[in-house]
Amino acid sequence: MLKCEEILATIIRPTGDFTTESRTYKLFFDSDRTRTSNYSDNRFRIIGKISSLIDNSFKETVIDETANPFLNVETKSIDPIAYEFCKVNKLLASLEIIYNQIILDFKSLLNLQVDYFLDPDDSKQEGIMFRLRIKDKPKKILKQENNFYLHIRKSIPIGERKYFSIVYSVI
Amino acid sequence: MDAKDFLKIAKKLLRYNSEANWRTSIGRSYYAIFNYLKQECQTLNLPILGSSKGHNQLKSYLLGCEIDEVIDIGSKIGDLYSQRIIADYRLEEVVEEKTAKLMFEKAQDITKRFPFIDKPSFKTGVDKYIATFKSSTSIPS
Repeated sequence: MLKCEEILATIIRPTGDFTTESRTYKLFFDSDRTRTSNYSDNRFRIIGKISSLIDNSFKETVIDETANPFLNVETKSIDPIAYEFCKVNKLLASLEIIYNQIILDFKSLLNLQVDYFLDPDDSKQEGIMFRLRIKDKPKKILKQENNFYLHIRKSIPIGERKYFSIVYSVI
Repeated sequence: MDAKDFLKIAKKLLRYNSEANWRTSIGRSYYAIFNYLKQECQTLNLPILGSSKGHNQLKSYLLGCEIDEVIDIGSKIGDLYSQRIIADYRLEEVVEEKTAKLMFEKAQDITKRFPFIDKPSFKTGVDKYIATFKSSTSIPS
């Protein structure tokens, strides 16, 4: 069972042909924001309300596992300082898109942690570090990473990409 | 010296069964790619600072050039930099052999991809990016 909050997500075909199908998915969303955003993989896109992404804001619910596309991820969490950094720098939308795209593209992901990062060699440099714990062969992970960056190209403003990095713990 | 020689060292270090070697391998993978791309930029008359600010400057040029493939490389060098920070400074964390291997593969992949980038377009893109910061006294970041 995962901690989460239910929202309604509408599934759209990649052709842009909106279907009428709606399902209640467990995602990372909460209901205090009204903006919508896209989450995509090669099969479909989900549009729904956006979350604050902080674990402690989630309501614990029993998940319909058959409807949850992200079950391969055991745990996910976001450091409140990282969240605050994104909020101040107006990066929350990108944070959420990257977070979800990682889950979609890295098939053997075990854990995803988002941390604030201050460069010890240059204190003027700060940003967000997505920490992926993953079980797979390095070559396969690299292939998934290349695919991930192809998706990110379309959805993250170039000026914001400098704030985000992904790091691994591969087992 | 060819910066890519650091990659050979990174690969050799993977043979040893110790975390210190794996951490060092990650550092060599990063510096191989940093120095390789720095040399490429300098060849195009895009000098990179020798100080610690050079790391961010290079990443900014790659991210700012408006060529998708190079922008991805810019993100990847940022990833490698962060991974190096963990390897060099966060000794309380465990660094696995496979993580070091992935960083080696990632750095090697960049050295295979960058030669196919159209260099005049890259230089034009970076020059354009720098021009947008012309009035600023700081390095574009």
